[in-house]
Amino acid sequence: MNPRAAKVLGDLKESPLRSLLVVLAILLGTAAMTVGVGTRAVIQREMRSSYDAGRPAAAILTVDAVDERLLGDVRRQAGVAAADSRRLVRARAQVGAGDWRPLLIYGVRDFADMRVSKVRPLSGASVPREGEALVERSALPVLKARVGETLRLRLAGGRVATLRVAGVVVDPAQAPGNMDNVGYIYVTPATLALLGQGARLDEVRIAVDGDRRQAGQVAEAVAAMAKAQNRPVLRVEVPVREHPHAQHMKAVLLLLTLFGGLALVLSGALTANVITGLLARQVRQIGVLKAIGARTGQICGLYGALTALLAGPGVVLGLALGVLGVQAMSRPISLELNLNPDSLAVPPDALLLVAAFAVIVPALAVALPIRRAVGRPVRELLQDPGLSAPDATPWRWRIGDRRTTLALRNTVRRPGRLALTMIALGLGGAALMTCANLYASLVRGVDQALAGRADSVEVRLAKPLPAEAFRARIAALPGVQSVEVWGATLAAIQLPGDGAARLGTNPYAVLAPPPGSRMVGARLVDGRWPRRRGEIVINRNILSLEPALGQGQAVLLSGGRSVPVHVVGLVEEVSEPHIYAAASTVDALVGQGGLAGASRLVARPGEEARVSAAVEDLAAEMGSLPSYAATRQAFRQTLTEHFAILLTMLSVAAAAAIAVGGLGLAATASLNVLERRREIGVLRALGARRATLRMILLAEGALIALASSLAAVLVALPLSAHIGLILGRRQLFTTLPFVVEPAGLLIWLGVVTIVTLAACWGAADRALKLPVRDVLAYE
Amino acid sequence: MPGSVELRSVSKSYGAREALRVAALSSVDLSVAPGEFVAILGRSGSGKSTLLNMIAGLDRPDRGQIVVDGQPLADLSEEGLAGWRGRFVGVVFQFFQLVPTLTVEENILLAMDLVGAIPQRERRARAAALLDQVGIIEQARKLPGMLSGGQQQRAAIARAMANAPAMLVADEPTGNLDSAAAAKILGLLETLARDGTTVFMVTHDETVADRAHRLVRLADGHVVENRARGQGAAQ
Repeated sequence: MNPRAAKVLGDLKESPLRSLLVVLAILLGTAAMTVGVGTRAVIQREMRSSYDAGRPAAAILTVDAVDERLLGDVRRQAGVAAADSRRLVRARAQVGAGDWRPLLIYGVRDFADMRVSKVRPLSGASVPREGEALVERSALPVLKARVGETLRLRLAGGRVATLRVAGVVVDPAQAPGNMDNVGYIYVTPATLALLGQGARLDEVRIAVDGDRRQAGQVAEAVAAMAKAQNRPVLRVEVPVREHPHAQHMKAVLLLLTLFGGLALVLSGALTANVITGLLARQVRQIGVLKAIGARTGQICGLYGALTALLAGPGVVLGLALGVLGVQAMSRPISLELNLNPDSLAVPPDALLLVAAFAVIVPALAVALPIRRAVGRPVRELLQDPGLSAPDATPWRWRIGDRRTTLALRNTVRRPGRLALTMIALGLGGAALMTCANLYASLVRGVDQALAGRADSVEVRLAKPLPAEAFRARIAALPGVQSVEVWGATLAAIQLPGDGAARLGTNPYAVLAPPPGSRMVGARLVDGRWPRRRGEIVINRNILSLEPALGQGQAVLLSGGRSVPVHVVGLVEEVSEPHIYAAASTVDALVGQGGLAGASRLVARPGEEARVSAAVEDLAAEMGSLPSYAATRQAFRQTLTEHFAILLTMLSVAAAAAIAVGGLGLAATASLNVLERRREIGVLRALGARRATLRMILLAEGALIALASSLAAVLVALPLSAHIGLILGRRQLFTTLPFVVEPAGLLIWLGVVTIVTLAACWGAADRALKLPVRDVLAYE
Repeated sequence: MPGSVELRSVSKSYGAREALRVAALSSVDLSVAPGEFVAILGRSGSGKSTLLNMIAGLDRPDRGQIVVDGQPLADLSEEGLAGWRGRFVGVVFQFFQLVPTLTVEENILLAMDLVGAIPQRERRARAAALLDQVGIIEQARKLPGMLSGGQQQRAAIARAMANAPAMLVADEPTGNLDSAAAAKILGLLETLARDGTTVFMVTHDETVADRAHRLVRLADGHVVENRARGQGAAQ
């Protein structure tokens, strides 16, 4: 064998444990970064492609009725890529005794020729017959239904009907029903008629190839054309074309990227740490090589080959493990988001990016000490002890007796290594603690927001009812302690200006609480509450969707009628997008005063679900139907289910942090012991007992663990606060409380203690088992 | 009297497999009286360091017996041997082997802490006295890396004497020093022997060996010469 190749292999074989640690460090770092970068790339790609595959509507025009002639005219209109007709009917589905869930029934023109807002058949029939429905996949758990079973529905006016579930479809444009606690079904116009809703379809759904601005222009042209045909357009919507949970996922993916970056820094520090430890003993050999005539290039080549042999398997295995991790992460996320992924393959550019980093980090870690060593005189290199002693006054700290002082000073003996260890462990611990803190913040944020509201049951009506009669009937229900009825309706926001800007997005709930209400959970963060007609307050959720709605902005609200309003305040609350207005504004939108569109009430503790069901029955009896009805507990559950993906990802990040951080600690602790075998031999020659030495070595490990935990806390606190702020604004549209979750610190302390004890004990045991003579001869 | 050493037919070989085993010591007999200053001479590989390790209890023989002050070392467990070493043997290395993160004084105090033979309240005074004795009291608060080689070796001797051992073993104590520093170290060892400490010193330098009371020469693991200074060969 080539002597140089033999030396490289010999170096690897000489320190198999260290070589293994380097490979493991690179492997874990590469895998963690692949998971972070890869999952982000896969989810973003699949969210986009899955959403686009359904050919989402760029504009929705609501008219009285759509016929084939109008549809043909729209399809011929310039800029219209495709057009189809639909109808949305709100209803309730019964899933148990007194347990009704919101149900959206979509009337589809032709299941065999869907051109816009397409659904993909998954199982069962792909075209439902009269009296049958196809159920959206994510709504199956909400509706507790299976193919062949019967759904019991309640429609506006209290009419109850049944439909047979004929098949399951995927609608990639819908927010996952299981997360929002909503059911989606798809029926033919004939079935709509069977349900007493008439067979007409009232939405023209248009697909446009351009952006939202162009979609607005096309929608406006189509609306003008319809009006010219004497077909009044009741409402125009130009929805934001992205997956309904795209904003939610942006925050989650941001976190994932952040933790991917953390994993990179962490594994970089760990790799550098272990590799420099591995090379510390090579300094003298570099001296020997130089003494016998080796040139700089030859020495660098030798250690380059050594690094390649270590990094190669680490990078390749890390990428492979990472790809498996991406698939393991992406699959449940896709399911949670109701995506229909074409592939979970990590994009090659993401893999290349990770591979480049994974190669550069160890290459840099090797290049620096080798460059330093190659530049030193041969005599100096030959005398290098492998572990340099401090030459000045630093590190004179004392704690306890000489033994603990020795442990302390040994801990800080290699400031560079200690710094790398602290970075690796500090970041690992910080990642874990930040995960724990963020989750606790989210849950407490929800609880605090709910605690600010006195009500325990909320019901919103699809059709408003006479306010006083509704209030009195609810108040008379058993278990109701107090009740408020609110003005409420749905309205789109139209900004002033021409073209797309003038068109509204989705319809939002406009709420008008009674004066002095105790059941408003929203917290005013800017401006004031509305006092008169024409004033509105928006919540942060709306502001994130419509960023142009600043303080003082004048807009047109379009419900049954249009009302000019302007923004007078901004509130924070844990809820859907809401607009708050005075009762007179809602009356103007509805076109009639004295109506209630919602009710919030306080039920006797333990009777919330029963009271909610009773109000539901009451609304149906009075000729309306709840569009939303939930107890505080159910609302809380729905919200926390939104955090499931986040929790999964945070748990994976935390597990990676524990694995990489633990490995870092194990590597450092064992390297510290390995490097000082001779010193251990000297102390044994001086008469030190094994137990004493073991305690010194364990104390060193404990000091590293404690210091790193402290560093982790110092990093985790600002990190939690900063990410919490972003997460709160993007996930809950509110300011999250800053929570320090002791469990995170305790888990980390537990991990570092166990790893420290195991690593130091193992390394110390090996060093102490060797005969003193052998240890003294150790280099 | 403390410090007497008796080796009876001591043999030691190294190597994992029988066929590859190399004899480091073969049937060595040696008797040393307390307070003697013994120089162990020989070429590289002659077995002198192995002999020193055996005497200091740093290694065990394959055959034969080593008795120090009437105590057969074979009767002691590893932990027992560690305790015995700490109490009765001081070790000095060629490359000093001071703990680099501790000051000179702390190195000496550490040796006392590890053994616990010297009462706590007396340790600092004893460390100062030892440093004064070896002539580096003014270096007490410095780290080893700030001292010259000669000063470090003197500090190592002071550490070896920390627990007032009956015997001091030194492996090439002057091998890494210039002649002036070496002379001072040898003077120190002579003084210690004169004060009653049995001193074993491994060296390959005849002039250094000449400072000892007794000269033991090894070749291929056998004692080929064992004589008091000024006498003819005893073996």
